[in-house]
Amino acid sequence: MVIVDNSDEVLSALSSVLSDQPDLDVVGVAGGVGEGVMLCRQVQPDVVILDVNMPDGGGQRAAREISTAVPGVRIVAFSAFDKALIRKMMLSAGADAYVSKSASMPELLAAIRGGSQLAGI
Amino acid sequence: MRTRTFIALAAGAAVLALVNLGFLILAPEHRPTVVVDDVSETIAPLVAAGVCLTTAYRGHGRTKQAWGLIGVSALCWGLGQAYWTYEEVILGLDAASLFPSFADLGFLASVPFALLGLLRLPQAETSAEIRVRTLLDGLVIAGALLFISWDLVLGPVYSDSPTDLLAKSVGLAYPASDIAMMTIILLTITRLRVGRRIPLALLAAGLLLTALADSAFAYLTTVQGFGSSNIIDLGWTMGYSLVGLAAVGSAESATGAGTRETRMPRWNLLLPYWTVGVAGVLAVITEFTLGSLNAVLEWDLLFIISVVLVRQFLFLSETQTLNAEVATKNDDLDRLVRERTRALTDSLEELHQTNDQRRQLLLRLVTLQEEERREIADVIHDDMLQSMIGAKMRTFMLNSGGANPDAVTSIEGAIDRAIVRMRSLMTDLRPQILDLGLIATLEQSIAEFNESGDLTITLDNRLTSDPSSLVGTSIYRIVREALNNAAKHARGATVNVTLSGSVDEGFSIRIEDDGPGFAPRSNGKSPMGHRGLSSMSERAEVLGGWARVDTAPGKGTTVDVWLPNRLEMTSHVPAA
Repeated sequence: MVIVDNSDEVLSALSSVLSDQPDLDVVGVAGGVGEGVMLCRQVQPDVVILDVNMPDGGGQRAAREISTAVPGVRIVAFSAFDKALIRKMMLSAGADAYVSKSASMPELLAAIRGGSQLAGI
Repeated sequence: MRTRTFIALAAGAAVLALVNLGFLILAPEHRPTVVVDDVSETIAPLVAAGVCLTTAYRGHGRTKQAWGLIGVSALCWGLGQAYWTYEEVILGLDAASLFPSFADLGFLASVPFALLGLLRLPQAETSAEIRVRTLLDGLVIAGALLFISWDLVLGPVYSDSPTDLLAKSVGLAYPASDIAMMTIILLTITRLRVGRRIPLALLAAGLLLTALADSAFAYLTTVQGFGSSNIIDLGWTMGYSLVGLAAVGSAESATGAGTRETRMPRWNLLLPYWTVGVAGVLAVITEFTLGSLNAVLEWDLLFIISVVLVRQFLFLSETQTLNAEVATKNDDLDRLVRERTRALTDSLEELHQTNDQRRQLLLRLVTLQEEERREIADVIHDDMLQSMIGAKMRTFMLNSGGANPDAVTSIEGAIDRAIVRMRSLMTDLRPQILDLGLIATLEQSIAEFNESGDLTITLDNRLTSDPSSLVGTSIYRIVREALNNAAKHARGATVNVTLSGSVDEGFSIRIEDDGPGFAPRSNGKSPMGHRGLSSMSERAEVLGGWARVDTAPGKGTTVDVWLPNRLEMTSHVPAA
């Protein structure tokens, strides 16, 4: 899986927590939209954890481009906003799940593993 | 007290005159009539002298001098008449033989005193021009009176008088002094201070009567031989009675209302000229009856005309000077008005500029405030909030590390509370969702209100273009404020939010609820608990727009706001 988030804090915390999981393998991290799309194109991940609030078009643009570049990829939108509007926007842009950053780790893990589409709402 | 004296004196004078008149009509030329006539003619001036001198004694300044001199004049006359009465009544001498006599000394002496007294009466303010004009008026009056007198009295007296030089001089002295007396009386009347009219009119009338009686006496004495008791005698009795009454009245008004300076009535201006009119009529009559005027009358007429011409010239030149002064004053006034108007326009302009500057400053302040809020919100979001989120994630690893689960849960709880507080602080500072557009943000806000169940809100978006960031933020804040107010004061109400307008025509916002409404304060300020209304107005005005609240108890509340998209577009609040 690939993690795209413009916050270094989140990026490093998330990668160390997720790497800890036996069934999950973080193959790359990116700090921006362009970088994230390029990375996904290269490594063709199964799952992408995508920050919503990023410059250069934000998570919406990234979701559209990644879902085109990596067919069958599971995109989990991961956002500090917990607004219904954002959720709708992300889902329509190609995200498969939407998780609030204030949600608990088990909720995020469930979303990654495909257990829930709308975790942490 | 003095009013009673006045009434008593007036009654006495009336009785004296009536008794006298009765005798003169019923028993002319009889001895009792002569006695009554002489005695009343003596009493009247002597009483008048007493009253005048008393008034003088109590008076001050010019009034004191005036009444003193008039009193002495009356005294002279009274003493002369007393001497006459002594000769005629006690010694039984014939009236015809009594002219001229010592009595005439008293009669003639009374004239200069009366003249001086009249001139000492308090007069209106004078200037050099007025004095010259008065002198000319005096000459006109004197000339006209001389004409009348020469035509009627002086002329005949001069030509028909006895050859005795003394008799001739004394005979002429009467009409001559009468001319002077009448001139001064007429002049005095025109220039008297108003406010004590009645006493002075009485004085003038009294002295005029005596002067007329004098002239008539001189005429009759010379032409027909004066009888001892004649209707003319009443002139003196009545005349001095009036002088006495004038003195009492003057003393009374001096202690009463005081002197009020008011404008003289216009007819007073004609006073010098009616004598000229009479002279003119006489001239015409004489011309017709005698065929010509004698040399004295002709020269006199020439004199009158000359003085009138000089007077006219003086008047015209004065008018010209006054007109020039008025024109100058008008110019000054015009200039002053122009200067003041310019000064006023300038200060108004300054005021407008100051107002504009103030608004620019406020706008700058608001812009900076919004920018600062955004920066703070960004820092919270990008830095602090992400750190907190990262920290929270890492707590998950503590579980597998065998940490105390209770400790982990309480750390998570603390982090969660911090996240919630940061979120709410961010939203208060500036909802980041605004980056997604005004309408999206408003829809989100409205959805939250609707979910809370306090209000039922619908949004009607008729915008044809999007507002600038600052204006959009302001619209968002105004709508939030109005919805907060409605939630507070109109719980359960249905609210319609309507947005319309464009970048070019400015933006209109209407927030309309069917709540209970409220009574607006007459001073335009928000009632207690409605502070949000004034903050909406302030926010709108800073941007050059306006906000208006239309409400009444039971009528719901409608907030109308208009905001220009550019600062140059300004407008005032339309009348409600």
